[in-house]
Amino acid sequence: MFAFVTGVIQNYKGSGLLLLLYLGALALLFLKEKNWPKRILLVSVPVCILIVFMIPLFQIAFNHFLDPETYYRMLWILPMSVTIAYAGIRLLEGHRRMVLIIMTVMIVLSGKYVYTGDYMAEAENAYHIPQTVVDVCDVILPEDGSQVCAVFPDDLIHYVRQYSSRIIMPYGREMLVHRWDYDDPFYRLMQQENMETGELSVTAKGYNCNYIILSTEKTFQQPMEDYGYEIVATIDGYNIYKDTTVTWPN
Amino acid sequence: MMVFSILGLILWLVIVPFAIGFLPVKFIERKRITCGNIFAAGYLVMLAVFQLIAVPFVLAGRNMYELTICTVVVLTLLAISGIWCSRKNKIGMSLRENYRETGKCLSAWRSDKKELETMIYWVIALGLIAFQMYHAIAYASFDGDDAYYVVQSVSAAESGDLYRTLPYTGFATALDTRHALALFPLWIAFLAQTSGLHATIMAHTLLPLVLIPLTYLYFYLIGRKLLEKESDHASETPHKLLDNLPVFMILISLLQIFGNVSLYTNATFFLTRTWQGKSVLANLVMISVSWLLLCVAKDGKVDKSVMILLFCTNMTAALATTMGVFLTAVLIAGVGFFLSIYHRSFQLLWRLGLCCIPCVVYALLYVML
Repeated sequence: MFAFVTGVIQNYKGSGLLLLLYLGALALLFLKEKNWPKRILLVSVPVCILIVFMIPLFQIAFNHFLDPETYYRMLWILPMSVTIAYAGIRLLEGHRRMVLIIMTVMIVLSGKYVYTGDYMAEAENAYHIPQTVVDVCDVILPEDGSQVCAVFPDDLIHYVRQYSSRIIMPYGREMLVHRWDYDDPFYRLMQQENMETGELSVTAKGYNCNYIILSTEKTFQQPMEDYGYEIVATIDGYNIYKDTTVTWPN
Repeated sequence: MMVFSILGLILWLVIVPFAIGFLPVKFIERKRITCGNIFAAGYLVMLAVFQLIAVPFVLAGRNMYELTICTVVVLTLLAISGIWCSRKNKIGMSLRENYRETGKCLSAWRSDKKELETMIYWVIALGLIAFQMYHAIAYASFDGDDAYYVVQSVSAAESGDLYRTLPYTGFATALDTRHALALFPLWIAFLAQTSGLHATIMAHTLLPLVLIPLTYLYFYLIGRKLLEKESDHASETPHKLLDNLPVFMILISLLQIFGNVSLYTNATFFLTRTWQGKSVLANLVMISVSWLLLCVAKDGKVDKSVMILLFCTNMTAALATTMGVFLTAVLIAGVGFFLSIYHRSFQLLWRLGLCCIPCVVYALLYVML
């Protein structure tokens, strides 16, 4: 039972240094803060929350009524930033420069800069989605405002309907989250390096799929043209195949 | 077209919440009324009212256009009421008196080295906020949940659909009961429709420019409460009591910028998923609850303005994410319990309990759905 809670804390804390800083701030305020209303908000209640958070019975009840994957959000009740900042000021009261220098060093060394990492990149446009997606969608979207059905490679799936909800997809992000355990034959076909063109065509036509977007690196057992597809554009390493035999029902 | 969009944004993101804010602040002590209080209060009321309007529309299977029209009418009436209320209660006069002191402070900073140092810290604090706002525009963060939440906004704004289309694919579905009560994506769609801008641009680029400074406004208000000192010197101007406040704000900013120790922290959500309801809960809502509880904490009195705002904050928590009402209720219950013992006041406890009515209502609704 404790394994679940320790797992949650393990995922939440990262290196653990910022959490240690918070616990240190809690301890300091426990010793130094004499104003009871502030003490209640910043020390008493957070300590109670932390204790309850660790109790297996509470965790079982929580997981019964709410999603277990969201248990870490209990930690959002703790005013960590406010507590650390306030404790730093209380520790060195009257010495603002020292507070600023010491706390800045401690925070920078304990924390992790948010603007680096795999999940951050310079924005390519105002939508904050890859420009490739915008360009591909602009090619396939009908000018009359009607809907269209298209299937996309994995790396573009997340963004397509953020650009336009007029694009219907046979499958979406749910296929990419493995722990959700979704399966779809169309998705499996799209993962092939050497495409079974006949199978792909039959499946796509079953969805009334107007377009298939594939990487230019894909190879085919038979040409797509044999099944009524033509390349209408090539954008940033993706071929846009239009099915000339299908119309998406509006 | 661009002028219309900008005017629309200024109207719904600045003017309307400020005007609505005059309504709850009329119950607070005159000398405590500031533009910050008004704006902070106005946003909580505005989001709460939107939640109140939107849920029936979603459950009844209506469409986004009807919801937008209804929201425009209601918020406009509230804003007009707020402006009328401010004139009737002469709130403008109170603001002018309160800010006269700030004018004196600005003069003091030119001649007093310590006050000049304070001013430099304020410049740094504001600079750090501007730094975060710049990165919110210039950098894109990837999050898979956008394929759900942002698409809900796009779908609502483009086709009027209210939670009856699968966001991942676009196929029709029954009402998504798990998310049907957390309607923050529809607020983004409302802003998109009233400004004529794309919902994704609204979410990713424009909304962080409002939510980031707004959240820091709540941090500022809580910092004021924590750092206010009693002073025996009658002549001491208010700002001298708060010379640690800019340091507090700098440290808060640093904790957000360097808080990305994992994908799950408040800070990570704040700067990489600002536009999602979960981030609004983890940051704006929880901080505003703490602020309001501190307003109560000192003398144990839950006055009308705090009750209204706590009530609205709980509704905003429901707007943000389904779990929001549970988290705010736990915090209010915990603090309320200890404060009622400290102040020996049962009235404090039941008044705070009344503010948690939205938590109970939305929890029951969630279970029923």
